[in-house]
Amino acid sequence: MLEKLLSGEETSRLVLICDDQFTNGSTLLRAFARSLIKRGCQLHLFCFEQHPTNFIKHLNLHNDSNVHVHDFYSDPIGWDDGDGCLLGSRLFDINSKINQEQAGGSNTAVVIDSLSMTLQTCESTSVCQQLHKLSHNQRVIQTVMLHHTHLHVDDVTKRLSHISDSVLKLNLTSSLPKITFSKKSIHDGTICVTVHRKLNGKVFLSEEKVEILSDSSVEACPWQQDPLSAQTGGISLNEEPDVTSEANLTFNLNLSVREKKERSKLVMPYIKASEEEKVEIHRSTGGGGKIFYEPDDVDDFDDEDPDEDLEF
Amino acid sequence: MFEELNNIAGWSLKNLPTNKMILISDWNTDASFLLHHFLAFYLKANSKVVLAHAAQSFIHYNLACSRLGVNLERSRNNGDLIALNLLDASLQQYVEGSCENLSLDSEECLNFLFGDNSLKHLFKVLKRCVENTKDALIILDDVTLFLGLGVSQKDLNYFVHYMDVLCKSNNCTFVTLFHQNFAPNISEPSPYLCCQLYASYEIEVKGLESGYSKDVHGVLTLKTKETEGIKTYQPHKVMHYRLTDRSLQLLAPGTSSAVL
Repeated sequence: MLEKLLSGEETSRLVLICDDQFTNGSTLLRAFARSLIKRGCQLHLFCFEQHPTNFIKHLNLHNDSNVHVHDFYSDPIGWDDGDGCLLGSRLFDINSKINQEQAGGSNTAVVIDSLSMTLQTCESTSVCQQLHKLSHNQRVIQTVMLHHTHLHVDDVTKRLSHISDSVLKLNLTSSLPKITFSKKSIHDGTICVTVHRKLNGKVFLSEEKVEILSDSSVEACPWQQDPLSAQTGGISLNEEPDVTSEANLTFNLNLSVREKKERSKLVMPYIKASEEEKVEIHRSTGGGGKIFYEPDDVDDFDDEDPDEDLEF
Repeated sequence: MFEELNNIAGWSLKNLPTNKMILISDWNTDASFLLHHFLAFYLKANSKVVLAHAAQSFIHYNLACSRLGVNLERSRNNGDLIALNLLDASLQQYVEGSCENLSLDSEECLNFLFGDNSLKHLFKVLKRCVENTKDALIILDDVTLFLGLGVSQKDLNYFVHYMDVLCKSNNCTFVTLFHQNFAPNISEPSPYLCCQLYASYEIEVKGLESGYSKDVHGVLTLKTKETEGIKTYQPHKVMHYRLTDRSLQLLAPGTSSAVL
């Protein structure tokens, strides 16, 4: 589903990418921006959290003439003697900006990185109204926006999800934060849970493991949580963490190859190597039993019959 | 400065973290020793440092940094260090209504105490201090205090945003301390999460869960942001630490001499 949304095979006018403290949605946002530019769209880029040149640099474009930049990062509220584009009556009004900048054509796309500052400055309901109008603007084929769920209350996320056609939620494969002092992470995976509402009203849910490649393209494959790791809270019992990081320890816990070979040759004390110490018990074919006794060194073996002096 | 911390983070006198925001956060303990480390680190690297202190007096930092081999008084006289005394200015302005005998910069910084309630002036003063300077360091001790002085969470978030813009545009570094035991207003974005969003590094300091120990003073976690990829952080580096007057010993958890 993710790849279909990226390629445009599935139509979605309003795409919401949700991330949290442990996942970074801006890389997926860049993937959408790159894909929209490749499809020949005029891209309106609204940057709030990073400088527009930084965003465009990561798109690796040969020609950025299709990108119209709206810089809300450098001076959003006029502290640096700027025009304070986010303040007062000059609120986040994308529709009028798009209608002003383009005389004709219906091949416009909008990318917003991200919604947090706008949601701080304006009421979430008015932001949702603006975005809803934008999604119904005939000139705009798709709007993609990034939302940090951990910065806002759940109600805001629900409102934004309600007006969006597609909601992409990024999660780590483990619900636990990655706290380890080894260099390699125990779990290397991010999943994208996509809820997509088609025009006919059908809703599709998909969970895919996602990887962003260095050229901002996306690789996604269906993901199913391992039942065992679900029970153990995402911790795989088969993998052992690499706790012997040499940078932190002052002693060596590892075995060399020679030491491993010598260990395999070691005989356990409970295994008796000598057959001379075995006691054998055999049964005779005549029906009577015979006992074969080998006395130890300390045994005082007397051939005399101890009952010889008895008279029966 | 603390060599072991620099080694763990990959910093050195020739490889200063520049163009970045570094967040120091603590939970029911005091992580201000890390501010002394950055003060000494950057002054030894001959970089310009701006110290805006609202939690402690200048004498406190001078004493602490003298144990780390740096004389703040001399650096201030040489012009390598600019100290903005927000502590004295705030008290004087609150009690007497004016800031006599203080530098103009300090007075401008604290206009937020009356009426304005924004940190715009503090931002402008800090920007003026680092203009035309390369690899400067701005230390603000500490950012949680402003929430108790009448600044709203929203304004503090804007301030953090503008400090990020200042770092990226002026090629400087911003270090600040945030006390996590502050209870935020949940209807607005938490300033701690906002600082985390912009910070490239976070050094989190907590006490030991098992309680007080004279051999191990707490847990220090270094979180480094990923530059590429979907995950926000590289694997955290979790260490136990032991702090003395002149050094910071970092140990892998469970390897203290008291345990082994």
